[in-house]
Amino acid sequence: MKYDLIIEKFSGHDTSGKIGKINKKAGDSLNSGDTIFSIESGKGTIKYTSQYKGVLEQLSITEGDIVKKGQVVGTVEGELFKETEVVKAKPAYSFGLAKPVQKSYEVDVAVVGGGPGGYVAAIRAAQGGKKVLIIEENRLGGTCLNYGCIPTKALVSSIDALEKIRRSESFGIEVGDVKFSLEKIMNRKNEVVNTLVSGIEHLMNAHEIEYLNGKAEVKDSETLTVKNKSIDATIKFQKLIIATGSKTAILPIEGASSEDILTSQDLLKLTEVPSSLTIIGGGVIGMEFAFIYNSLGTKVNVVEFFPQILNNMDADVAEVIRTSAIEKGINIFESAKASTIKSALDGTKIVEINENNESKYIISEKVAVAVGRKANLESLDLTKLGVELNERRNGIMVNASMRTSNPNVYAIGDITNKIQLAHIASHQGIVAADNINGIENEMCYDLIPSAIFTMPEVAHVGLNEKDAGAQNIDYLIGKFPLMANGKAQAMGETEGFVKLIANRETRKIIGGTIVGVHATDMLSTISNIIASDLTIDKAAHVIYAHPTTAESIHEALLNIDGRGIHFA
Amino acid sequence: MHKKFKVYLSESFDPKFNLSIEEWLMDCSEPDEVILFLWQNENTIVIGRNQNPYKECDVKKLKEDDVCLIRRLSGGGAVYHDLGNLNFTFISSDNNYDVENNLKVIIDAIDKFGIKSCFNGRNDLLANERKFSGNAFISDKGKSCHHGTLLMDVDLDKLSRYLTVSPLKLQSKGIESVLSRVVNLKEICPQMTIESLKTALITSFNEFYNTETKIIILNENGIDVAKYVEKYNSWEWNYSESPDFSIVLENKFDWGIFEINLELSDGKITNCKIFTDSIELEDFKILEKSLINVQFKRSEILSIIEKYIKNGKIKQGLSNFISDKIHM
Ligand SMILES: Cc1cc2nc3c(=O)[nH]c(=O)nc-3n(C[C@H](O)[C@H](O)[C@H](O)COP(=O)(O)OP(=O)(O)OC[C@H]3O[C@@H](n4cnc5c(N)ncnc54)[C@H](O)[C@@H]3O)c2cc1C
Repeated sequence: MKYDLIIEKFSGHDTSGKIGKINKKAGDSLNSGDTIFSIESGKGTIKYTSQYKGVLEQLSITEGDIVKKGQVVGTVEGELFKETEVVKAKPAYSFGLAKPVQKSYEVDVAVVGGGPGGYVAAIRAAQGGKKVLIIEENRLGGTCLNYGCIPTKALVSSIDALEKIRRSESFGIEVGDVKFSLEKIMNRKNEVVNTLVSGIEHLMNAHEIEYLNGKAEVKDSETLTVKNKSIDATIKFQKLIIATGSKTAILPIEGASSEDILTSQDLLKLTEVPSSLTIIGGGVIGMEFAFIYNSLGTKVNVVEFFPQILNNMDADVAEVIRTSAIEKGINIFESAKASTIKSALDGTKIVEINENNESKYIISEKVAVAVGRKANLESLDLTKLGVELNERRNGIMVNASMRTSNPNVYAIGDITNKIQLAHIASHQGIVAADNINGIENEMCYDLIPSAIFTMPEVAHVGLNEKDAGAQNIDYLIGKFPLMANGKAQAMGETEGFVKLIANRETRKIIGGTIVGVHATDMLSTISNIIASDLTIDKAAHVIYAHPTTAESIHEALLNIDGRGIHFA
Repeated sequence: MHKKFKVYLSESFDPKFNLSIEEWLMDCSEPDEVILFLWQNENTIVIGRNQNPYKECDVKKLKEDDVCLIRRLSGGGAVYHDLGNLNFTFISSDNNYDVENNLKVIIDAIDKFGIKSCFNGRNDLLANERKFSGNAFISDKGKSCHHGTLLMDVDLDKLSRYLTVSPLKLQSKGIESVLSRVVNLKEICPQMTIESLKTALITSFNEFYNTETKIIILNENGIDVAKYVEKYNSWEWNYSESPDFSIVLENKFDWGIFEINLELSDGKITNCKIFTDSIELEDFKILEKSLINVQFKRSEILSIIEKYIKNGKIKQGLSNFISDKIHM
């Protein structure tokens, strides 16, 4: 039979429309349900579909034509297919699929926590041919990359540039008003972090390490589960490495747990520079932020409980930093115990401190607490895993191979609460993974370097005078001030010194501290001297390039015996 | 009729995935479902069902800047999406479908940010008399879909850079884009973010229908829409599903002026005329003939030139010229 093709409807109540794409042409065979063309009108697009099975005899329209309701646009030779006869396309996908997909994994090694402990351990285990899966609930890179070492150093770099420009006149350069934007400084920091995080994602891929984003939970001593929006995973492991890190410790005083008390994480994402800031805790993290915000124009107060800021360092080291801080306008309160934090009616904060049994009040817009970090002991159900805590119950107990009380479970990094530094976490990760790979390796904490990014920088490795004294070692020291170093003079950065410690009896170098420009980058030279077991004379028998700040190390070596050339 | 309300959120910024989800929802949702789907595309030009990519945008620039070009199911004009843009889709069966209701949900959500907006009766939502949302509609097999963009913080420079009049001389029968004065919502309300906008839309949807919808998150891992993705990924759908069009490509070479007129249908060359004042001995007639029925793709055309042009200089010139003009 012959049928006319009639325009019956448009979208909505439109009465005319424009022909869009034409999919069939005269002579084509047609099935019921085939799209012949589409029509666009003001209220939308519809497909003009065939109700017939047969042949399209002719089509009198072309693309772009305007058509009206009731218009005949062509003819078909064939049969009419009633609605019921049209085979309804069966839904190909069910809605159930949008739920998390269930997955189960069986792996040689599961790593929980993607910080510098966890991701390094994962890579090393994979290098040993193990099938590895890593679980991170937040972002790969952990505290170090996302909220610690890296973002603080990105801020310090911005501040360095700012300070250099401010001092430009002393270099004979005139610049106009110096302006900065906290938003742009923070954006740059975020970019640095993002680049590094994606780098780690790439490393996971490259080592064929399966990465699950979500919170790991313990099912039993051999099984973990991870649930997120898209998967619901069960992981059976042979070996487990716990690298769940630490979080900011809360100060147990009145007002310290209030919502508006800042942590280091908050200090990394302020959107406005506070007019004033009191930092409780004059350790590494507190002092780094003190210099950062001071440079940005904040009036900074630091309250330190111990007799000196950076309390682990020798007094002469802390002295350089204290002097520099005070010169810059930072208020330092040492041997001062913060006892309460109160809010004034206008929101300003009042910190009460006790200094020499005297109560004093510090008023500031914001208060931050940086009094150390606590291991994330509640991050996993350790009892179910059969993993025990150390004597002080502030970290997971491990032996030198990083093995816990459960022989199949290892723990590394801040969660062990040995020394909370990123490079320790990474090194412990390597030790744990080596042991899993069947290579005996033990952790040794004798030669731990540390770097502090104050102004100027501080770097330390091995023993300092305090340690040597405490261990009753008869020691010699050699010290060289950067003021006498040509390069430091040329750079206009003469604060600080290099100090080396040698055992008087063996004449071997056992420790060193550098305060001053390039300190953190110069440190590894001292690490290598100590690790190579060199005596003063052997170590001094090396040529240092001129002019470099590292020549100060050479001079300090010579000065142990009073033989320094450039300092008398 | 009893209605079931559903809110879907896509975590993917891949236009192929998101348009696949939209079509899948059109195909597979139950007749009693009223759906709100929110999604974002990264750096994408979305052209209308009946548009010609070569006409609507500068395909060369898109290629250079790695912008994805994709054809959607609904008609209307071309739009630029980036992560400053949030797309909404309402899908329901025809009898539950009411554009007015959908618009109310959007306008109320925007109102939560203190922004008064209105529908201009055609396809646009306006605030301060400037467009922040383009809408399009499609109905098929008893289901209707109303979708649109919400310009929150879109790179307007890119928007105008990519949606420029094609540098190609081209005549098409399809639908043309209408350029209008646009505004980013963030300009009116600086606190607004994509997240807060999403929340406001979902709240507004729940308030309007007096319901508490569970939100279903979608991403490539959770759902398999490969069949649809295949279509949205294909040259056939994105480039050749255009209405017929003709195009003139011309260039001055050191061997003479060369002009080629092509008529195209379903992505294939249906007619070809070449004009040249070249005095070189070269049979352009055979090129004209051989190009008929060839796909309008760079590689196809280049292989015809390679095969039928003998003069090395002309071959080189034409090949470079075609490569410069045709990017797919
Ligand atoms: C402000 C600041 C500055 C710092 N600066 C330095 C510096 O300059 N140099 C330096 O050496 N160190 C620095 N540190 C210390 C350093 O960041 C840490 O020592 C290091 O990150 C510890 O590594 P980790 O792998 O043990 O744990 P983390 O880096 O804390 O990583 C642990 C990860 O485990 C994840 N996780 C926890 N529980 C689970 C679970 N159940 N499931 C899944 N994932 C889980 C967490 O999300 C986290 O990402 C700084 C720290 C801070 C806060």
